[in-house]
Amino acid sequence: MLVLARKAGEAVQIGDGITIYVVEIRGRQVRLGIEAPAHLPVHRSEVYDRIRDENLQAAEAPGDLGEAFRLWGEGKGDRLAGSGKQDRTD
Amino acid sequence: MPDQGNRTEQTETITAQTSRFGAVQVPLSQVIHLPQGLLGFPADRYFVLLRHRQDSPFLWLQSLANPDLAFVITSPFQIVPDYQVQLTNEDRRELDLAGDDPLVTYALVTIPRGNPAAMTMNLIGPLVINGRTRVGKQVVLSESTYSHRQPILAVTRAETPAAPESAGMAAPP
Repeated sequence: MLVLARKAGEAVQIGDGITIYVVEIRGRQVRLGIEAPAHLPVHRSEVYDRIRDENLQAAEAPGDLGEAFRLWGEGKGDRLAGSGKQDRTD
Repeated sequence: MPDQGNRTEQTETITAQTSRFGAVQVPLSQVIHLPQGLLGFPADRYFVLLRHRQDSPFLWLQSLANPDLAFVITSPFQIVPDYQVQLTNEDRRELDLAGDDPLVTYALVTIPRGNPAAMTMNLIGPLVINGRTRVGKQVVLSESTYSHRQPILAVTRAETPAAPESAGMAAPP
Protein backbone atom coordinates (compact mmCIF):
# COMPACT_ATOMS: atom_id res chain seq x y z
CA MET A 1 0.00 0.00 0.00
CA LEU A 2 1.21 3.47 -0.86
CA VAL A 3 1.25 5.72 2.20
CA LEU A 4 1.48 9.49 1.76
CA ALA A 5 1.65 12.24 4.39
CA ARG A 6 -0.75 15.11 3.61
CA LYS A 7 -1.77 18.30 5.37
CA ALA A 8 -5.20 19.87 5.44
CA GLY A 9 -5.85 21.53 2.10
CA GLU A 10 -3.58 19.17 0.23
CA ALA A 11 -4.75 16.48 -2.12
CA VAL A 12 -3.90 13.20 -3.76
CA GLN A 13 -4.44 12.59 -7.44
CA ILE A 14 -5.29 9.09 -8.66
CA GLY A 15 -5.05 8.69 -12.40
CA ASP A 16 -6.78 11.29 -14.53
CA GLY A 17 -10.14 11.41 -12.90
CA ILE A 18 -9.88 10.97 -9.15
CA THR A 19 -8.79 13.59 -6.64
CA ILE A 20 -8.97 13.14 -2.90
CA TYR A 21 -8.72 16.31 -0.83
CA VAL A 22 -7.92 16.49 2.85
CA VAL A 23 -10.57 19.05 3.76
CA GLU A 24 -10.10 19.22 7.48
CA ILE A 25 -8.27 17.49 10.28
CA ARG A 26 -9.93 17.80 13.63
CA GLY A 27 -8.73 15.70 16.53
CA ARG A 28 -8.94 12.07 15.51
CA GLN A 29 -11.11 12.69 12.48
CA VAL A 30 -10.19 13.56 8.93
CA ARG A 31 -12.72 14.96 6.47
CA LEU A 32 -12.03 13.98 2.90
CA GLY A 33 -13.39 15.44 -0.27
CA ILE A 34 -13.51 13.04 -3.18
CA GLU A 35 -13.87 13.89 -6.83
CA ALA A 36 -14.40 10.87 -9.01
CA PRO A 37 -16.24 10.01 -12.22
CA ALA A 38 -19.90 9.22 -11.60
CA HIS A 39 -19.53 5.59 -12.65
CA LEU A 40 -17.08 4.96 -9.81
CA PRO A 41 -19.13 4.51 -6.66
CA VAL A 42 -17.62 5.97 -3.51
CA HIS A 43 -18.77 4.51 -0.22
CA ARG A 44 -17.64 4.39 3.35
CA SER A 45 -15.79 1.09 3.54
CA GLU A 46 -17.71 -0.22 6.53
CA VAL A 47 -21.05 0.19 4.72
CA TYR A 48 -19.75 -1.53 1.63
CA ASP A 49 -18.15 -4.31 3.69
CA ARG A 50 -21.31 -4.83 5.70
CA ILE A 51 -23.41 -5.35 2.58
CA ARG A 52 -20.85 -7.60 0.95
CA ASP A 53 -20.46 -9.71 4.10
CA GLU A 54 -24.21 -9.97 4.48
CA ASN A 55 -24.51 -11.06 0.84
CA LEU A 56 -21.89 -13.73 1.39
CA GLN A 57 -23.67 -14.97 4.46
CA ALA A 58 -27.07 -14.94 2.77
CA ALA A 59 -25.70 -16.97 -0.13
CA GLU A 60 -23.71 -19.38 1.98
CA ALA A 61 -26.50 -20.64 4.17
CA PRO A 62 -29.97 -20.03 2.92
CA GLY A 63 -31.33 -21.89 5.94
CA ASP A 64 -34.66 -23.58 6.07
CA LEU A 65 -36.93 -21.39 3.95
CA GLY A 66 -39.91 -23.69 4.49
CA GLU A 67 -39.58 -23.27 8.23
CA ALA A 68 -39.00 -19.54 7.81
CA PHE A 69 -42.23 -19.33 5.83
CA ARG A 70 -44.12 -21.21 8.52
CA LEU A 71 -42.78 -18.86 11.20
CA TRP A 72 -43.73 -15.90 9.03
CA GLY A 73 -47.31 -17.11 8.87
CA GLU A 74 -47.42 -17.52 12.64
CA GLY A 75 -45.98 -14.13 13.42
CA LYS A 76 -48.01 -12.10 11.00
CA GLY A 77 -49.94 -10.20 13.65
CA ASP A 78 -46.88 -8.92 15.46
CA ARG A 79 -45.00 -7.46 12.57
CA LEU A 80 -46.95 -4.42 11.62
CA ALA A 81 -45.91 -2.58 14.77
CA GLY A 82 -42.28 -2.83 13.73
CA SER A 83 -39.97 -0.22 12.35
CA GLY A 84 -36.81 -0.57 10.36
CA LYS A 85 -34.92 2.19 12.06
CA GLN A 86 -32.00 1.48 14.30
CA ASP A 87 -29.63 3.72 16.10
CA ARG A 88 -26.43 4.28 14.25
CA THR A 89 -23.45 2.76 15.91
CA ASP A 90 -20.81 4.55 13.92
CA MET B 1 -40.30 -26.68 -6.26
CA PRO B 2 -40.89 -23.02 -6.70
CA ASP B 3 -44.19 -21.97 -8.14
CA GLN B 4 -43.76 -20.83 -11.71
CA GLY B 5 -47.05 -19.00 -11.79
CA ASN B 6 -49.44 -18.98 -14.69
CA ARG B 7 -48.40 -21.54 -17.30
CA THR B 8 -51.30 -21.07 -19.64
CA GLU B 9 -49.80 -18.09 -21.44
CA GLN B 10 -47.46 -18.70 -24.32
CA THR B 11 -44.18 -17.18 -23.21
CA GLU B 12 -40.60 -17.57 -24.23
CA THR B 13 -38.71 -19.49 -21.63
CA ILE B 14 -35.16 -20.37 -20.79
CA THR B 15 -33.87 -23.24 -18.72
CA ALA B 16 -32.22 -22.34 -15.45
CA GLN B 17 -29.97 -25.00 -14.01
CA THR B 18 -30.29 -24.90 -10.26
CA SER B 19 -28.88 -27.09 -7.54
CA ARG B 20 -31.99 -26.66 -5.39
CA PHE B 21 -34.74 -27.20 -7.93
CA GLY B 22 -33.05 -28.96 -10.81
CA ALA B 23 -33.69 -27.58 -14.30
CA VAL B 24 -36.39 -24.94 -14.19
CA GLN B 25 -38.17 -23.43 -17.16
CA VAL B 26 -38.41 -19.73 -16.57
CA PRO B 27 -40.17 -17.07 -18.65
CA LEU B 28 -37.72 -14.62 -20.13
CA SER B 29 -39.72 -11.92 -18.42
CA GLN B 30 -38.33 -13.15 -15.11
CA VAL B 31 -34.67 -12.77 -16.08
CA ILE B 32 -32.99 -9.95 -14.21
CA HIS B 33 -29.80 -8.32 -15.44
CA LEU B 34 -27.49 -6.91 -12.78
CA PRO B 35 -24.70 -5.24 -14.76
CA GLN B 36 -22.54 -4.95 -11.65
CA GLY B 37 -23.68 -8.11 -9.94
CA LEU B 38 -24.21 -8.12 -6.21
CA LEU B 39 -21.52 -6.88 -3.82
CA GLY B 40 -19.11 -9.76 -3.37
CA PHE B 41 -20.51 -11.53 -6.46
CA PRO B 42 -19.42 -9.36 -9.38
CA ALA B 43 -19.34 -12.24 -11.86
CA ASP B 44 -22.98 -13.26 -11.57
CA ARG B 45 -24.89 -10.83 -13.76
CA TYR B 46 -28.01 -12.71 -14.75
CA PHE B 47 -30.59 -14.04 -12.32
CA VAL B 48 -34.12 -15.33 -12.39
CA LEU B 49 -36.83 -14.72 -9.84
CA LEU B 50 -38.53 -17.88 -8.62
CA ARG B 51 -41.52 -17.57 -6.40
CA HIS B 52 -41.10 -19.63 -3.26
CA ARG B 53 -44.69 -20.81 -3.17
CA GLN B 54 -48.20 -19.46 -3.24
CA ASP B 55 -48.79 -16.89 -0.47
CA SER B 56 -45.13 -16.80 0.48
CA PRO B 57 -43.52 -13.38 0.86
CA PHE B 58 -40.21 -14.90 -0.25
CA LEU B 59 -38.68 -15.36 -3.68
CA TRP B 60 -35.49 -16.98 -4.84
CA LEU B 61 -33.02 -14.89 -6.75
CA GLN B 62 -31.27 -17.64 -8.67
CA SER B 63 -28.06 -17.09 -10.62
CA LEU B 64 -28.21 -18.33 -14.20
CA ALA B 65 -24.45 -18.84 -14.37
CA ASN B 66 -24.04 -20.64 -11.08
CA PRO B 67 -26.59 -23.34 -10.14
CA ASP B 68 -25.42 -23.21 -6.52
CA LEU B 69 -25.90 -19.49 -6.08
CA ALA B 70 -29.33 -18.34 -4.95
CA PHE B 71 -30.53 -15.71 -2.54
CA VAL B 72 -33.78 -15.45 -0.66
CA ILE B 73 -35.38 -12.05 -1.17
CA THR B 74 -38.55 -10.38 -0.01
CA SER B 75 -40.37 -7.10 -0.26
CA PRO B 76 -39.17 -4.94 2.63
CA PHE B 77 -42.42 -2.97 2.77
CA GLN B 78 -44.42 -5.69 4.48
CA ILE B 79 -42.21 -5.29 7.51
CA VAL B 80 -41.12 -1.68 7.20
CA PRO B 81 -43.99 0.07 5.43
CA ASP B 82 -42.25 3.45 5.32
CA TYR B 83 -38.98 2.06 3.98
CA GLN B 84 -37.37 4.48 1.57
CA VAL B 85 -34.61 4.01 -0.95
CA GLN B 86 -32.85 7.18 -1.99
CA LEU B 87 -31.45 6.72 -5.48
CA THR B 88 -28.55 8.80 -6.73
CA ASN B 89 -28.46 10.12 -10.27
CA GLU B 90 -25.87 7.50 -11.01
CA ASP B 91 -28.20 4.78 -9.67
CA ARG B 92 -30.90 6.06 -12.01
CA ARG B 93 -28.52 6.05 -14.92
CA GLU B 94 -27.36 2.51 -14.23
CA LEU B 95 -30.96 1.37 -13.88
CA ASP B 96 -31.75 3.04 -17.20
CA LEU B 97 -34.68 4.74 -15.49
CA ALA B 98 -37.12 6.67 -17.63
CA GLY B 99 -39.99 8.75 -16.35
CA ASP B 100 -42.71 6.22 -15.77
CA ASP B 101 -40.64 3.13 -15.19
CA PRO B 102 -41.93 1.00 -12.35
CA LEU B 103 -39.35 0.25 -9.68
CA VAL B 104 -39.36 -2.99 -7.78
CA THR B 105 -37.50 -3.17 -4.49
CA TYR B 106 -36.38 -6.29 -2.69
CA ALA B 107 -34.35 -6.89 0.43
CA LEU B 108 -31.93 -9.81 0.61
CA VAL B 109 -32.79 -12.20 3.40
CA THR B 110 -30.34 -14.06 5.61
CA ILE B 111 -31.76 -17.20 7.21
CA PRO B 112 -29.28 -18.56 9.74
CA ARG B 113 -28.84 -22.29 9.42
CA GLY B 114 -30.58 -24.04 12.29
CA ASN B 115 -32.27 -20.86 13.48
CA PRO B 116 -34.71 -19.58 10.88
CA ALA B 117 -36.55 -17.58 13.53
CA ALA B 118 -33.53 -15.25 13.60
CA MET B 119 -33.83 -14.41 9.92
CA THR B 120 -33.04 -10.86 8.93
CA MET B 121 -33.18 -8.69 5.85
CA ASN B 122 -30.61 -6.22 4.64
CA LEU B 123 -32.06 -2.72 4.37
CA ILE B 124 -28.85 -0.87 3.53
CA GLY B 125 -28.23 -2.86 0.33
CA PRO B 126 -31.62 -3.30 -1.34
CA LEU B 127 -31.96 -4.80 -4.78
CA VAL B 128 -33.77 -2.31 -7.00
CA ILE B 129 -35.07 -3.44 -10.39
CA ASN B 130 -36.38 -1.39 -13.26
CA GLY B 131 -39.64 -3.16 -14.05
CA ARG B 132 -39.53 -2.13 -17.69
CA THR B 133 -35.99 -3.14 -18.59
CA ARG B 134 -35.45 -5.72 -15.81
CA VAL B 135 -32.08 -4.13 -15.14
CA GLY B 136 -31.27 -4.15 -11.46
CA LYS B 137 -28.73 -2.94 -9.02
CA GLN B 138 -27.83 -3.49 -5.41
CA VAL B 139 -28.05 0.05 -4.12
CA VAL B 140 -25.74 1.10 -1.30
CA LEU B 141 -27.57 3.34 1.16
CA SER B 142 -24.53 4.94 2.76
CA GLU B 143 -26.37 7.70 4.56
CA SER B 144 -29.37 5.80 5.83
CA THR B 145 -30.00 4.69 9.39
CA TYR B 146 -31.45 1.36 8.32
CA SER B 147 -30.02 -1.90 9.55
CA HIS B 148 -28.25 -4.52 7.48
CA ARG B 149 -29.82 -7.07 9.82
CA GLN B 150 -33.40 -6.01 10.23
CA PRO B 151 -35.29 -8.80 12.03
CA ILE B 152 -38.16 -10.16 9.99
CA LEU B 153 -40.07 -11.92 12.74
CA ALA B 154 -41.47 -10.64 16.00
CA VAL B 155 -40.42 -7.08 15.50
CA THR B 156 -41.76 -5.35 18.56
CA ARG B 157 -39.60 -2.26 18.71
CA ALA B 158 -41.46 0.90 19.44
CA GLU B 159 -41.97 3.34 16.61
CA THR B 160 -39.03 5.61 16.04
CA PRO B 161 -39.20 8.91 14.19
CA ALA B 162 -39.78 8.55 10.49
CA ALA B 163 -37.00 9.03 8.01
CA PRO B 164 -36.44 12.56 6.73
CA GLU B 165 -38.41 13.56 3.68
CA SER B 166 -36.92 12.12 0.55
CA ALA B 167 -37.86 11.21 -2.95
CA GLY B 168 -38.15 7.61 -1.84
CA MET B 169 -38.85 5.27 -4.69
CA ALA B 170 -40.64 7.83 -6.77
CA ALA B 171 -39.71 8.01 -10.42
CA PRO B 172 -37.51 10.93 -11.44
CA PRO B 173 -39.37 14.05 -12.50
